Amino acid sequence: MINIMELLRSISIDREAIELSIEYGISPYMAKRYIELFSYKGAISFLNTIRLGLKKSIRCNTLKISCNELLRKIKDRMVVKQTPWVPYGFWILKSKVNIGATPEYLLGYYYIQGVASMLPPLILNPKPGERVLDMCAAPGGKTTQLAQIMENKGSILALDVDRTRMRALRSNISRLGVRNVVTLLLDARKIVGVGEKFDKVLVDAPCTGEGLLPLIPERGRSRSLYDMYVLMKLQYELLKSAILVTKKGGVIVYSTCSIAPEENEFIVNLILKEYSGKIELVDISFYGEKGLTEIYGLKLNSELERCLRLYPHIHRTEGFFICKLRKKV
Amino acid sequence: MQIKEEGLEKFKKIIYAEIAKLFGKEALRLIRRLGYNIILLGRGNNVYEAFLVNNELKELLSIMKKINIQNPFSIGLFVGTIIENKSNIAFKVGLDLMEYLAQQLRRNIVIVSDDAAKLFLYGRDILLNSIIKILPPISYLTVIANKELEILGIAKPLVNLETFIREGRRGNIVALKNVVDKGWYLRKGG
Repeated sequence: MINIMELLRSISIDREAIELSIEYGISPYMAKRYIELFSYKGAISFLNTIRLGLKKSIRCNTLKISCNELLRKIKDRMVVKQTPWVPYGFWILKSKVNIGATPEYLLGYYYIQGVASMLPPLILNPKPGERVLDMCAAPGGKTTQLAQIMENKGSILALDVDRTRMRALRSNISRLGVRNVVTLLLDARKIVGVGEKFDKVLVDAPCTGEGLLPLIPERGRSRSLYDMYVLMKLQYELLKSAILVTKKGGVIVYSTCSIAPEENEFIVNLILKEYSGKIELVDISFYGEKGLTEIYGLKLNSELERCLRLYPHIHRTEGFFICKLRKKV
Repeated sequence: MQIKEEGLEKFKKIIYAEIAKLFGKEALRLIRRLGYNIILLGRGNNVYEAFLVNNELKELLSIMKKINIQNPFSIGLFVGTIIENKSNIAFKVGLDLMEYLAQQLRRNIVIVSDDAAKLFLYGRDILLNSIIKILPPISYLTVIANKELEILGIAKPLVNLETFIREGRRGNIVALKNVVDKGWYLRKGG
């Protein structure tokens, strides 16, 4: 991990990066990394999404209503379009009302959720009756989606460390009619003592949120390289804990709303090295780009191309990274 | 929040008695049939929150107990709040349970007009004139629904609704006092 920091520090900030950073209001180190990641032209295209924003989207909550019925109810107030990869996900093309204050919202018929963030639960694909761990659960978009996929059957342990966000999680669980969740104010790294107990584990890790720049442009300035380093340590420890509590043959999905390789491929690469022969990466056949296997002149595990990347300027979603790992029997 | 085990039976009795008052013994049979158990979480100052949990969630709790973690924030279906003081134990039923039982049993529901439904979600009371239909028996707390039988919240009847409706009485008097409505999710829900 230290070496990665040294590598990042060694990336020299040149004139192009400084110009981009001024034009788009982001830190120079971010601009330089985007040029490395996308080329100069690609970086501009990515950064332009900060100005354009992204379409809002909702997840129809099939625990409470069928999607057809929901569409019938909202059709006079909203124009929506189904997303190609989530059958119950809809982009809001036009709305006459605040989508967070409609009767349908209050009745728990939908959850406002980015399309990319609907993918990790879908890829984890828990079955009704399974025991699932959601390590960083609040405010509950993915937890409630997991419950939806599981048809409220089985059990989900939803952990988070933030008391305020925990209240939001509980409120969302109640609003959406979820009944198979235990919420616990706990640092997910402290759960390892339970042993290999979970069929499926979701690690939607805290991150710099670089994939959310089109939605929260302030992130372009508010995060430093040091923040990233702290988060990388946390991400690594969380994923390690996830492996320890997953049953043999069980599945772990690691995701972040960041496009930074440091928080994604680098973390999974370290884990693959440490648990060589004990875990494997599973192909994700979804719309999106493959995971990176080479960046900043570093060669990474070639299996990482099985991971999934989504970019705002290419896929019109939040920037996201998703990896699916299986613990070998 | 700690799981309360001591004296649980006493609290359970009170909760089940209240549920039976609200939705009849059929509600208790339904809870039993679904394999639900009651769990109490202490919130300090003799206040407890009650939840209905299935066996899978109970199993999860026992796993957590192994590493001495027994303080869930919430679990399963929220039933209501219990306040214990020296002289008595009071139980305040929660919206989640009321909604669940009303939907399953189709009783203790007051159906109101579209306008009244909208206003109710903003915390307003229900006028007698706004009532379209009732699904009896109506208890001391009842569930408010719109014409599509979508549950909007809980209200306290201020008049004998069954008699008023049977006798065809109308008027702009407040017939039901808003106790909790789903607008709460916006106003306080986080």
